[in-house]
Amino acid sequence: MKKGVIVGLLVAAVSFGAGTYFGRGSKQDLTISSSTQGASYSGGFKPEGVATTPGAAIRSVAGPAPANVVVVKDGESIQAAIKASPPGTIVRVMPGTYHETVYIDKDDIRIIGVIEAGRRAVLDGRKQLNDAILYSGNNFVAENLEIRNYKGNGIMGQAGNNFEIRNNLIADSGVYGIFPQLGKNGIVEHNVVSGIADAAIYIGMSDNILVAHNDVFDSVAGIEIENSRHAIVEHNYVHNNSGGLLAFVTPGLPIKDTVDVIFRNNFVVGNNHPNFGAPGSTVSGIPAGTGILVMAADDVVIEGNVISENKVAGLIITDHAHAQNITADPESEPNSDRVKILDNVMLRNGYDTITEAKALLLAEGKVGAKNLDIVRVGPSPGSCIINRHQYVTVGVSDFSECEFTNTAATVNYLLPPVPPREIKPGERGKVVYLGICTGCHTYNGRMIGPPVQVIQALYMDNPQGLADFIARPVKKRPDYPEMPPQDYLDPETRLAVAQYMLQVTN
Amino acid sequence: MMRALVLLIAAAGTAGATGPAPTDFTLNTSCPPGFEKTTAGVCELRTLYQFYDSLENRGLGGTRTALPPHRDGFTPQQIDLGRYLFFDPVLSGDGSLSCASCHDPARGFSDGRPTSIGIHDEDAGRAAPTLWNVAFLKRFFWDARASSLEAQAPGSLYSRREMGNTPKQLLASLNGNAVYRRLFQETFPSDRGPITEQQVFTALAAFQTSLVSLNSRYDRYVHGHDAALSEREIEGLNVFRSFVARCSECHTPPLFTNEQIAVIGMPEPDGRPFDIGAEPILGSPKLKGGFKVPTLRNIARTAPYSHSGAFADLHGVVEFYNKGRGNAVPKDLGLYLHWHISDPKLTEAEVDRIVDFLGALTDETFLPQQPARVPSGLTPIKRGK
Amino acid sequence: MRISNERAAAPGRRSRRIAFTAWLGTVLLIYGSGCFAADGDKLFAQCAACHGTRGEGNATFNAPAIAGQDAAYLERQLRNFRNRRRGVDKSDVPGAQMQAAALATLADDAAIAKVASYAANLPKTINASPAPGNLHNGNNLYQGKCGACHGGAAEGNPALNAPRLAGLDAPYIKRQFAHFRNGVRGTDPQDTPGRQMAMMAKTLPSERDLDDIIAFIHRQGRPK
Repeated sequence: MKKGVIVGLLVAAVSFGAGTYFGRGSKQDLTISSSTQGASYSGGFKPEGVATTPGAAIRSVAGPAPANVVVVKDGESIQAAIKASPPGTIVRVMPGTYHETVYIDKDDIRIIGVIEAGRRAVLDGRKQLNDAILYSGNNFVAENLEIRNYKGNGIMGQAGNNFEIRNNLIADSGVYGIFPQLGKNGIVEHNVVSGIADAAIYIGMSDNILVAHNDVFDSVAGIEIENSRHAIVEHNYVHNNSGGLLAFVTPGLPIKDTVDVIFRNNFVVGNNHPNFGAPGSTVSGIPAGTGILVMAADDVVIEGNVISENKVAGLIITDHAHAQNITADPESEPNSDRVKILDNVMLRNGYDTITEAKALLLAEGKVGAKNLDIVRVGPSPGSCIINRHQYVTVGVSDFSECEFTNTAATVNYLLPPVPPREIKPGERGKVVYLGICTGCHTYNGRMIGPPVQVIQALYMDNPQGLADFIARPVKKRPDYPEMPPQDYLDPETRLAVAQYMLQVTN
Repeated sequence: MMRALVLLIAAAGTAGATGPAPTDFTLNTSCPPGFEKTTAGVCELRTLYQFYDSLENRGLGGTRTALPPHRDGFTPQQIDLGRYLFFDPVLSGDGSLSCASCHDPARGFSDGRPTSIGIHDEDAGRAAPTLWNVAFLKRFFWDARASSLEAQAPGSLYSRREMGNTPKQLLASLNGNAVYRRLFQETFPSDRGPITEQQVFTALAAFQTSLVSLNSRYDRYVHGHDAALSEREIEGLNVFRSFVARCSECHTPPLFTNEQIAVIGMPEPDGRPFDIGAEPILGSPKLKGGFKVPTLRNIARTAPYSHSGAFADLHGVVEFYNKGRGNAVPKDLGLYLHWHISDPKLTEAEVDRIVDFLGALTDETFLPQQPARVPSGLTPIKRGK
Repeated sequence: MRISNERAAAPGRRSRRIAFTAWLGTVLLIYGSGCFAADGDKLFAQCAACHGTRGEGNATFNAPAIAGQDAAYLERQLRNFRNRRRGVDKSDVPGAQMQAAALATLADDAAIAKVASYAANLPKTINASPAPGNLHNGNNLYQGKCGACHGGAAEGNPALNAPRLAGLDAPYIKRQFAHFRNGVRGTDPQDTPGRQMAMMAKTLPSERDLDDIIAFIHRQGRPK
C-alpha cells in the first residue's frame, strides 16, 4: 500500500497548523444553511449559441440513431461488420462470446449489445488482447456489452466527440475500464465497472462530460476526471476502490488544467481496497482509503454525496508539491483553487488514517479525533465550505463561506449533438487539390505525375471522367510512376477536386 | 524506394517547364506544393485535416483530428530564398557545412548519424531532429530551449559545435554577395539597407515551414481509405494506440507528438555521459533527462534513434520500451520517469507490428528540390563528409 | 476544283504548286492501277508516293513520316480526313490534299485499318536533319507540356492517343502545331484528342520555345 500523496505532509503540517489554529480566537457560533434553499451555483460553462433550459436537459449527444442496422451473431466478428459498414450504422451484437479488439475509425457507429434473458454479448480478451474497443470516430455509442479480461482498456476513445457509453459491464479489463480521451461532449452512464488497475472510469483531457449512475468498485481509482473541463459526476455508487472520486491535473500532458467539475449525489463508500496500481503510475500514490481526492483541479464542487467508511479521509484536497509520483510541469498551475464544499453526508471516515494526517489533526489541536472527513494540504485559494461544523476537518479553517448552497441551476454541461462541419464542395475540392494533388502534380511542369495543364486538356469537358480516374487510376505512361488510388475520397469530393483541378490557372 | 524515385524524377524534371537557365538565380513566385497563394500573395497551407476539429484547438487526439496551430503566410520568395540559404555552406563559419549537412532531405531531414558532426569535426552533442512538420511545433531543439524557428536558427548557426559562424561573418558574407543582395531585396522589398540577421532567420523559417508531410498511407486511412493500411499495419496501429503499449499517449496523432517534455530513461551509447536534457532549461530537477517528444512522421527515414542515436533501428527503440520501466537507467540517477513508461510485455509479434505501422507514416511527396547551385558559388552540401 | 482556285490566288507559292501538281499526277497514276487492292502493302504503295517507300516522310511534299506511327492514331487521322474533320480549313492545303487522297484511295474503314497497320509496322525512322535550338529549354518545356502524353522520349503513347513525334520533320510539326493553336485542327467536337492537343498548343509562350522543343524532339531516338 502506498501512502504517497501525503508524503512530506508532516513538515508542512506543523507550520501550517501552527499558523492557523493557534492564531484563532474563541469558538464561533454555528451557522446553518440549507442546501435546498439559497443561491445556486450556475457552473463555469456557458455554451456559445446554445439555449439550455433546465426543463430541456440534454440526455443524448450522439444524434439521431442511424437507420442502417447490421447484426453480428455469436461466432462472427464485430470488427468485420464494422469494417463492412458505412458511417451511420448500428451494429447489433447478439449474445455470445467475442474474442477480438474492435476499432472504430469512422463516424456514427453504434455497437449495441442485445441482452437475452440476462445473456450479453461478451468481449473476452482472455488476458491476451490489449483493448476491447478503440474508437476515434465521432458520435460513437457502446451499449449493453460485457467486457472482460483485456490487458489495456475496456473502452478507449481517442478524440471522438459526442459519445455515449452506457449499460456496459466491464470487469478485470486492464488499466482503465472506460477511458474517453481528447473528446468533447460525452455521456458515461449506467455502467458497472470493477477490477481495474487504474481508474474504472477515466475522463482524460475531455470537455463537457456527464458521468452518472455508474457502479464502480474493486479498482484502484473509481472515477477520475483528469485534465478535463466541465464535467459532472453524479449519482454514482463508488465503493471498495483504493480512491473513490478523483479530480486531477496530471502534469506533463498537453492539456494543462482541470476546471469546473461537480461531484454530487454520489455514494462514496468504503474505498479501502489495497492499492494495486502499477508502480510509477499516478494512482499508485493514492492512499488506500480515500473517498474523494482533488489535486490541482480548480472549481471543483462537492455536493450532496454520501461519503462514508473511507479509512484515510472522506475528502483530500492537495497540490502537486505534496503528491508523490508527480512530475513537474511549469505550464500547469499546481494548486487546487476554488474548491467548493457544500452539504454532504460524511460518516465514519478517517478511522484508520495515515500517520501524517494524524499529525495534522494534532497540530490543529483536534486531540482524540477518531475520524477525519476532510484534509486539505497545500494552497487552495478562493475555496469555500458551508456548514463546516458538521465535518471533522484539517486545513480548511481559512475557507470562506460559499455564496451558494447547491448546484441545482447546473443541470449538466452537455451540448446538442455537434453537427459535422458543413464544407462546400468547392472548398473541399480546393483543399484536396492543394493538400494532396499538388504533391505530385504541378501546374505546368513534370513532377511525379503529369502537369495539371495536360490533365486539363485531356479532361477539358469531362470532370466526371477525371473523378472516376483518380478513384481507380490506370497506368498510362510508362515513364511515370503509377498513381495511387484516391478512392478514400468520397465520390462527391472526387468530383469537386476534379472540377477544381480543371479550372486552376496556375 | 519511393523517395529515391521522387528524387530521380525531381532531378530529371529540373526546375519546371519554364525554369531558369542554370546560371540564373531567380526566386519562385508560386507557392510550394500544399500551399495556396492568397490574394495577399502569401502561401497558406491547405490540408484535409483542416476539415476536422480538435479539443481546445490543441491538435491532438485520434484519427480525424485537426492539426495544432501552425506557421505559414510567408511569401513564395521568402520560402525560395530560404531554400537557397538552407543548402548554402556560406552559412557556416568555414564554408564546410550547410543546414542540409545535418538536415539532409535525402535522409528525412536528419543525417543518419547517432549525433551530428559540426564544424571542425566537432561532436554536436545530440542527434539532428527531422525538420518535417516543424511548422506545427512550438518548441525547438531536443531540450526545448527555443520557442520559434527564428530563435532556433542562431542556436545552430553560431554554435561552435554546429555551424561555427558569427553574426558578423554571416552578414559580411551575404552582403558581400551581389546575388544574395539582389535576392534579399526582391524578397524584402520594403527593407532598405543591408541584409539583416532577421531576414536570414525569416527566410530559413519560411523554407522550413514548407516541409509538410501529411500524405502518408496512414493519412489516407484517416481520411477514410480503409485499404490504405495493410492488415499488419492496422494491427500495429491498434497496438500503438492500445493502453498496453501506450505509444500514442505521447506520440499523439495527427502529428505523432504531443510536444511535451518526457523523461524516458533511454540509454546513452557506450562511452557517452548521461545527458540531463531539459532540466536546466526548465529549471526543474524532476525533468532531469527529459527530452521533447519527437514526431514519428517519416520516422522510418531517420535512423538511428533517440537524442543520441542509441538505437540503430525502430525495432531497437520499441524493444527498449518493452523491456520495462527504467531498464537502462543507472541506479543512482533518481529520474522521475514518465508514468506511461511501464512494463507492457508486448509479444515479439506486437513489437514487429508497431514497426510495420511506423513505416506507414512515411510521406515525402512535398520534398523540396535541392538547388543545383547556390549563390555563394560553393558546392551545395547535403550530408557532411 | 476549289483547291486549284485557292492555289491560283496565291501566286507566291510556286514551289508548292509544283509539288501539288506532281502529287496529283502521282495519285491519279496510283488510283488507276491499284485502287481496289485489299492488302496493306498494296494500299501503302499509294501512300509511298509522298510519304516515301519506307514511310519516312518527305518534307518537300509536306508529307510526314508515318513509319512506326501508332496504328490507332493513323486510322483516326485517316478517318478524320475522310470524314472531313481534318483538312477542311482553307489554310490547310496539305491537309486538303491528304483529304482528297484518302477519299480517293481508301474505300472503307477496313482499308484504312489495313494501311494503317502496315505503316505502323514499318521500322521507325529518325529525322535526317537535327533542328537547331536550346536543348535545355526544349527539354524543360517538352517534359512540362508534351512528354506527359507523347512520352518522355517523344515515342508516343497509344494509351493517351498521343502520336510518336520523334521522326517527324520540323516543318510538319510546326505546321500542325500552328493548326492546333489557330483553330485549324482539333476543333471538331468529335475529335477529342485533337481538341486536347489544341488546348495544349495554346499554352506555349513563343515560337522560339517551339523551336527548342523541336530541337529536343529531334534528339530523341538518335544515337548519342
